[in-house]
Amino acid sequence: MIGLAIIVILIAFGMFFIIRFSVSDQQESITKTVQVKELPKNFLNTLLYSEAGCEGSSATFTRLIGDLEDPLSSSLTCGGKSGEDLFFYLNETLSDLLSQTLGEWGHNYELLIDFPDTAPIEENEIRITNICIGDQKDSSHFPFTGDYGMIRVVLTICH
Amino acid sequence: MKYKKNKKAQVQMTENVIILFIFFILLVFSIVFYTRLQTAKIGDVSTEKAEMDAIEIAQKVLSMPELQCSVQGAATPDCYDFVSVNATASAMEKNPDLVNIYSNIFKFSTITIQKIFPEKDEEVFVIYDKKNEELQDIMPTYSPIILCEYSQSNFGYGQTRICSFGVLKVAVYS
Repeated sequence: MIGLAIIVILIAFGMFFIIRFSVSDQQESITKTVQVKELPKNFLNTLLYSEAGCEGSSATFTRLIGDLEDPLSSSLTCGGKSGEDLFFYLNETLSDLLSQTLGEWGHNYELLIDFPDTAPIEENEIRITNICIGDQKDSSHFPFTGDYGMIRVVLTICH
Repeated sequence: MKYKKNKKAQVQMTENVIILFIFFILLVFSIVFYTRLQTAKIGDVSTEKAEMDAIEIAQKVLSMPELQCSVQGAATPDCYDFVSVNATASAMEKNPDLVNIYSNIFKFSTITIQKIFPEKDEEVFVIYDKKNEELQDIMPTYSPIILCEYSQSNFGYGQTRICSFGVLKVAVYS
């Protein structure tokens, strides 16, 4: 009887150790954590200083987003689109760029461009997402002043 | 009476043998489990070290004064001078011995830069490449970077800066 009791205790110990080690093995790798923490800031910084691909102009994405507050008065023509169509251009371009980079690197993301309520546009925000689910989220905010108030660009990476 | 006692002793003996057998099976299982766990841990530690190396190398590349671009002498974060990148890549291609200058810093790794937007450049600029046949590649580290070029202004004076969206890829061999 004592022998059986010892075996039961040993099995209980064994189970405890197996559960303990399998739980601690679920930690994320250091690279992923460090990369993901820095990535939204680096990505937004790079994106907003890069050329937006507009014809006859070296306008950056910051300029293009700024112009979208009042697209009808914008002088930019990007990808053959001008005026209110610049919204579609920006949406398509950013979607492609995000899927070619963050998407290919295996990240879930959400990009939000929030225009001030006073801006003369139909939709006050652009939201590009690829199912941003997960407990941990790292965001970077890039606010800048436009003609009608504060424009917010927020990139969130979920993991 | 003596026969009964003998039988009881025999039963207890068998019970003890079975318990000892189960005990040794459990002991063997625990030793196997522990050994596997330790082997996996050693593997994790070496992967972790390689990952740390990759991050360290990526950080060093991002702050290389040879490649960084600046505005009026001040370095712009995450920004590379495209002309310097191009020149470094072609110098590395023409003279592979140049790799040895940086081998203390970048160890066994491959560092590449590619333009992604406005126009995706098919050409990948290899600014450092030192492989070791015995070592395997680990998951590469990617960083978005600004690639700037300077051109003469239309008005004949000053310079215009045109920046593209690029990607820096660091693959460390471990």
